[in-house]
Amino acid sequence: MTTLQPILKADDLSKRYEDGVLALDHLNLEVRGGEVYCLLGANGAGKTTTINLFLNFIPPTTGTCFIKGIDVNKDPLEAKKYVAFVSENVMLYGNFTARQNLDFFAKLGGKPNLTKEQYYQVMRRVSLQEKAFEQRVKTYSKGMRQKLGISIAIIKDAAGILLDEPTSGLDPKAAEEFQETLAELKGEGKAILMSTHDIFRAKEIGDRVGIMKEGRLVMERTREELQYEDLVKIYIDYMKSEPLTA
Amino acid sequence: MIGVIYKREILDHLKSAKFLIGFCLTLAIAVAATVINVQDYGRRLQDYRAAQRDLPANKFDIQIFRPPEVLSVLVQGKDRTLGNKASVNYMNIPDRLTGYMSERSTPRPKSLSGFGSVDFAFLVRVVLSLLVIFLAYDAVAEEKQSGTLKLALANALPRSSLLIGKAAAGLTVVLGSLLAAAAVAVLIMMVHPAVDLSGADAARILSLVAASALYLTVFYMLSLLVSAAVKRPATALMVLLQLWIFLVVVYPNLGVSIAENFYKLPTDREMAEKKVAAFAPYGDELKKVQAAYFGGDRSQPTGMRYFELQSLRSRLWNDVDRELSLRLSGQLERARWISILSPAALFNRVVERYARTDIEEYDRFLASVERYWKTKYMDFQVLFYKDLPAYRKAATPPFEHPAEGTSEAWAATAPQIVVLALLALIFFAAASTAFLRKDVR
Ligand SMILES: Nc1ncnc2c1ncn2[C@@H]1O[C@H](COP(=O)(O)OP(=O)(O)O)[C@@H](O)[C@H]1O
Ligand SMILES: [Mg+2]
Repeated sequence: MTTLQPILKADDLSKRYEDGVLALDHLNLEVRGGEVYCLLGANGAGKTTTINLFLNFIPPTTGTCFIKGIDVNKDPLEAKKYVAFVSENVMLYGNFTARQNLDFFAKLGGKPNLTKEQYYQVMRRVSLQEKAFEQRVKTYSKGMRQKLGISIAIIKDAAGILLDEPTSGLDPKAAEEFQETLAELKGEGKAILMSTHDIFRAKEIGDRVGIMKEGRLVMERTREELQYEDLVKIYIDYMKSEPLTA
Repeated sequence: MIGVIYKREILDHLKSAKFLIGFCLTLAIAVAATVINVQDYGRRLQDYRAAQRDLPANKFDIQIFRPPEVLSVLVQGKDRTLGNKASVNYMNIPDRLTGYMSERSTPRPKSLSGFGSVDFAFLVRVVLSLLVIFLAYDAVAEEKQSGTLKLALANALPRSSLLIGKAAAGLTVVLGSLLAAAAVAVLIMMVHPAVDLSGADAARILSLVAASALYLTVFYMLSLLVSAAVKRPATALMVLLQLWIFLVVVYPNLGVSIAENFYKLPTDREMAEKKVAAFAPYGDELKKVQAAYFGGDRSQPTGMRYFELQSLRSRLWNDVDRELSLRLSGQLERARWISILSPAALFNRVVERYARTDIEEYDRFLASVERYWKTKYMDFQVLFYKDLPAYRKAATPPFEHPAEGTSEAWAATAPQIVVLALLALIFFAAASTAFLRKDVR
């Protein structure tokens, strides 16, 4: 049930930072509805830069990001209606309870009239413990915050979801639960772009996997192709190979 | 969207320990300061009334007392320090006021130096402005550091809405604290038996609170600017505390000391010499008339001339005094110009004016004394030589000091208010610019 039109699209995207670092080098990628795209890459490969460009946090040096066909740089507010975001290390308002945080971000996400029960449902869906719903978030562990961050993304019910290393720091059980949630979202037709170091999970969940190195997308494989190839080996080979830039 | 931000920010402030501590401290200081100051006012009012009651029945030497200002309870200003008694006789137009019954004398009538004791004005100028800094320093910097800024701006939320929501909420909390402190202070005043507030006083109190709100807004906007401009909340706090010390403590006093050092006043000795010179042409005649008068010549022309010469001397000396007074005013003006960009100095000037406890009010009172001397008092004393029975029958003409109208006070403080409003606007504009350009990652 993938859509024909890509919901997330990077078109010839480059980013050179003020200090001259070329963090992203002519990236092209597309994520359709019902598709999970995993961006693999070592630290500094340019994954976070890509996501920041999609959110208009930084301007691109060349190229364009599109969300549902909307040019992010031209109409960022309209574009951001259709995308939800989970950051690498979710930090929320510590003095507020989980539900209060959820309520605030739901309203920002354009969902002003949700009930307490609806908030509870979303938090159950990411398997946050019931007793934590009305606890202040400053008492939360990293894994709990990450779950709440994901429920914030879910409640926005946006067509595209950007996740920046969402499983880093999650224990195996939580990571497993996270993967189930992701599968559900995919089933609902969301276009999911997720950056990660975790090759095994990328292989399991990704409909497509791209490997980034020094700002370039050096390889892209579909789930079908990966059935006949060893992703781990490919990845490690790329990591070991010579630097791209002289 | 602004409403959503506003609500969250308000809640966040109300939940924060720093607000609760700051708010309680504010109320505690408001209560303590007002209780102490209102009692002091009550005592001074009693002293004043006792002095009025116990006036010696003397038609020649007249004691004039300046009543304590009721709003000095909120803004003590110079009300306590600049003396409140003038002795009027035809040999002397007072150039300064002394303490009750001359218990305290004020050698330098116009001390420039700024800030008085712990009162409502102190609470606003020092305590609340610090509270503002502590409430606002992390408004942007903290959210940037923790990453919630990113999370919020991943939505269709214009940055301007976020900033306006934050500013509106922060100001609500700050001005709410101000209003609470003002309400407590006014309530304590109203229940004190010595205090009797008129409609005009109420208007002045409202103006005073409005000026306080404006002053705190300046600090809020400055804090917002710094919070949006720096990377980390700790940096913002450090920068703001240093700015605060400079703007509230160093800079206003710097203005005073620069003006005092570079705009010299004549010494007492120079003044005395000037006075001697001013009267020199009449010196010999006065000696002659005096000798005749005390030699037993009590004829009307001699007495009249003796009186005329002495009052002439008073006028000439008064002219010399006025010159000094003009120079003092010049010095004061300079100090004010130097401190024109210190919100604290501007604020102080405005609220002392509204409370009628500034140097201008002291000058107005002295001017009333001089006017009284030159008109009613002298007309009355002349009677002694022209029509003694009428003089004996007549009562001493009453001294009058018309209170300054509220609209005049507003007009006088308009420049300071405008500068404060401009500072607030400029800081907000700069904060907006910094925030719109801010790297939120
Ligand atoms: N604000 C910045 N200024 C300069 N260089 C940056 C900035 N942010 C990231 N970089 C550089 O850009 C490259 C890509 O970084 P990033 O996108 O964060 O990688 P990843 O998320 O894959 O670890 C790195 O070399 C990093 O040092
Ligand atoms: Mg990263």
